[in-house]
Amino acid sequence: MQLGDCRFDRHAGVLTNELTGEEWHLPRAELQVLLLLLANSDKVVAKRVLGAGDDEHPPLSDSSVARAVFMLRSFLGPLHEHMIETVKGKGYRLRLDSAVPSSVHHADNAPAKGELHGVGERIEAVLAWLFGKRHRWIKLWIGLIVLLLGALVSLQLFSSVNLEVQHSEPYLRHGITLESGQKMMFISYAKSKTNNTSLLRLSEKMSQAFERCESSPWKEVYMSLSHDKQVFNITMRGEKMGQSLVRNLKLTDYRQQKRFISEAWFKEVSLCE
Amino acid sequence: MNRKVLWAINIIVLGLLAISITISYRYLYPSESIMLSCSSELFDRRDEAQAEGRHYLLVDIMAKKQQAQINYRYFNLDGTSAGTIRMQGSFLDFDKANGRYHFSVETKEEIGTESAETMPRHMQYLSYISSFNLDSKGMHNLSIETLELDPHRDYAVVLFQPSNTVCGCRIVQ
Repeated sequence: MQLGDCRFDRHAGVLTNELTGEEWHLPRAELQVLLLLLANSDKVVAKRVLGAGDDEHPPLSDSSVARAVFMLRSFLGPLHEHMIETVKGKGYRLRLDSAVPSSVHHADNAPAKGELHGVGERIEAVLAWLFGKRHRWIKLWIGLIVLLLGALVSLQLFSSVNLEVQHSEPYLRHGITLESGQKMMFISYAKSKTNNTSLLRLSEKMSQAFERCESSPWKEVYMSLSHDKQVFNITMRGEKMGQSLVRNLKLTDYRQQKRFISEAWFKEVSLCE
Repeated sequence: MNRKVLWAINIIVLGLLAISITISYRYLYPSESIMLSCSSELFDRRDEAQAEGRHYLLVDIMAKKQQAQINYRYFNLDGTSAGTIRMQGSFLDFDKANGRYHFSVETKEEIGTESAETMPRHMQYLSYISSFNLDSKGMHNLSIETLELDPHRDYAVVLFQPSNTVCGCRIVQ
């Protein structure tokens, strides 16, 4: 006959878990308790009746009966262990119609019919149903992988969300306002924070040159001197008719007295346009 | 439910986990690549007696997976070639915290360097620095940091190091 996920062969005294294939040859106490509960299914059977002796066997103690019930419940598994109910002070009752746990074995504070004890048991029941008792290492392995994956993803997401790009700080940043009211920003990048007199002078000259423009398509002017101060780099960024404009100028000056920019050069390159 | 079904469920669960790990990894660590094209006007500042040299420079930077290629193409005002420096090497890494791409140039090829006098000064400068590094260290390391990025308009202002060069570039990819 069927008891939850187990098949009971009463003649052989064997309980077989059909999920895992595990077989259990019931010892005397468990076999006697189960047979008596089956014979009185849906009825409360007193401990003393369950442990009654016969011609061949001595009576079982109350603790032996309780242990036998515990072992039977354990083999039935978390999803069906509640088929054997404890009726406090009276005995035990087997409910054959409870394919799913129908009530709780603790009579006093028994939850409503059909409820599981909690989330843990529910999970355990599902896992037991899915994998069976024999594959606990697989459950453990999958659990560890899921935990590891979750931790990894959370950590990386957390770090990527909080990651703010730390750009190199400009050495100097100053702005001017043209006659038209347009604002321009001059941003200079230096290799170190010292010995930047040339860069400061060039930055000043550039802003003075732009101040003479009534208006200009350029909004930002980036400047840098190469590490050996031989090349002066200017990048102008702006907008015209909704289009992005970029212009790069690179001046190389090998002379001892470096000047890089001059009035004539400003006119030549038409900075205002 | 027999054992075969249970094992099938186990394998499906593990397969889904493996797929999710792969997707997460690809999402979290996308393979960085960069393709920039930067054009510049070059001015060789000389004494009043000498005519000022003017050229154009096109720099193409390509980095994908672990390969990097940087081409410097110099042009005269009439559009004829004034020289080329082709650098090849490794794309070392992308520093997310600083928005910086690191490269190591291992080989270079120079075209049009027969006459130093006709070479643009910038090309002379770049040729000298890169040769110095390649000869002394066996590599020419450089990094490109994005100072300002507008992916909608396909441009970026970048800072080359160690030369400390700012440049506005078009984002090709």
